[in-house]
Amino acid sequence: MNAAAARTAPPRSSPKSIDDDLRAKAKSLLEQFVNQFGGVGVWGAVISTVDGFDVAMASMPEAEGTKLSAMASSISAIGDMAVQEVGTGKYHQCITIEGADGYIFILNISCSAGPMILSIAASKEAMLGKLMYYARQVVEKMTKA
Amino acid sequence: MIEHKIIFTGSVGAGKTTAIQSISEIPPVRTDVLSSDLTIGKDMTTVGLDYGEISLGETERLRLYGTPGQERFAFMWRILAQGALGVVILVDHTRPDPLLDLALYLDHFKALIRETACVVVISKMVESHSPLLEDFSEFMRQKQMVCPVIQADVRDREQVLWILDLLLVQMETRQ
Ligand SMILES: Nc1nc2c(ncn2[C@@H]2O[C@H](COP(=O)(O)OP(=O)(O)OP(=O)(O)O)[C@@H](O)[C@H]2O)c(=O)[nH]1
Ligand SMILES: [Mg+2]
Repeated sequence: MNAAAARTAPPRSSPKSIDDDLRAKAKSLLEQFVNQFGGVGVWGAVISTVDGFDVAMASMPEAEGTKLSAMASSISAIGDMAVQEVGTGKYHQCITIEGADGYIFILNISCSAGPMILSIAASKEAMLGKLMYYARQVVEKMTKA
Repeated sequence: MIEHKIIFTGSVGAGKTTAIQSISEIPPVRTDVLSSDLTIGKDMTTVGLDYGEISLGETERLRLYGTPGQERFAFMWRILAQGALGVVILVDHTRPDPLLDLALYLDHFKALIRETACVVVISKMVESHSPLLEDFSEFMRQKQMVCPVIQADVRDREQVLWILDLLLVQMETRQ
């Protein structure tokens, strides 16, 4: 057997349990979310599986969404560990990473099709209260999806 | 207390999380989550890191870090490699191309392998199937990387301790 030929390419995005309907729903929720800000403050958003495969993204180059999915998966898992070790809960609800020019927010989604993560990239101009309000709505709607 | 950082890396499902679980004296810190990738053949996969500890006598302690196996987490490999004094590369023999798997980790960790200690461990070895253990050794020689290549069952504490011994011997001779 030629082992190299038998080796399948690693899947680019998650094959299991996430059907096209759910992907479409995630995509439309993200687009609505991003549009709410009319191009001011919010750069883009991606929903990923908890093991770091992108499910849907909006206003974000594909390569960036794919990379952010993997990183958010690691950060989110480490965040959950920290929350448990310190006794502040079982899962984190939001992780904020502030850079010089903007923010990354990472939120847990307990979706029935499998746990997922919402990541949002925003600039310093973003209105954080409004952003969080709508982000939590996306989480809630995905939870019920 | 002298502390050394050791990392366990290698192919998905090869047993990095299991190896640390087998020997850690503290409850290991784990970041395994539900896997949505059916091709890896198990339910959970590491996306962040594993962490455990084991003491060697009264004065030395090893801090054990496990990496995720999947390549999209390669950024974690770079983070976890920092400051390590030894690396264990686990290769799952039952995956489609274990030599190609080994090459990936040898390449990513080559600086660490050259400068510190390394052991290559073939797990889930089916001895009647190629590549044979000597094929892995030969592969290492071709890459001009010198380190022990062994097979082991990392579910067994004694065998993981043996891996650490092989690592420690190298660390001592290099010091
Ligand atoms: N049959 C058999 N099973 C083994 C052997 N060694 C390890 N396993 C099993 O293989 C699995 C290894 O899983 P993990 O320890 O999660 O592997 P990992 O390398 O951490 O995988 P990722 O974090 O997903 O990259 C466990 O279910 C072990 O019990 C072996 O020699 N024979
Ligand atoms: Mg693991």
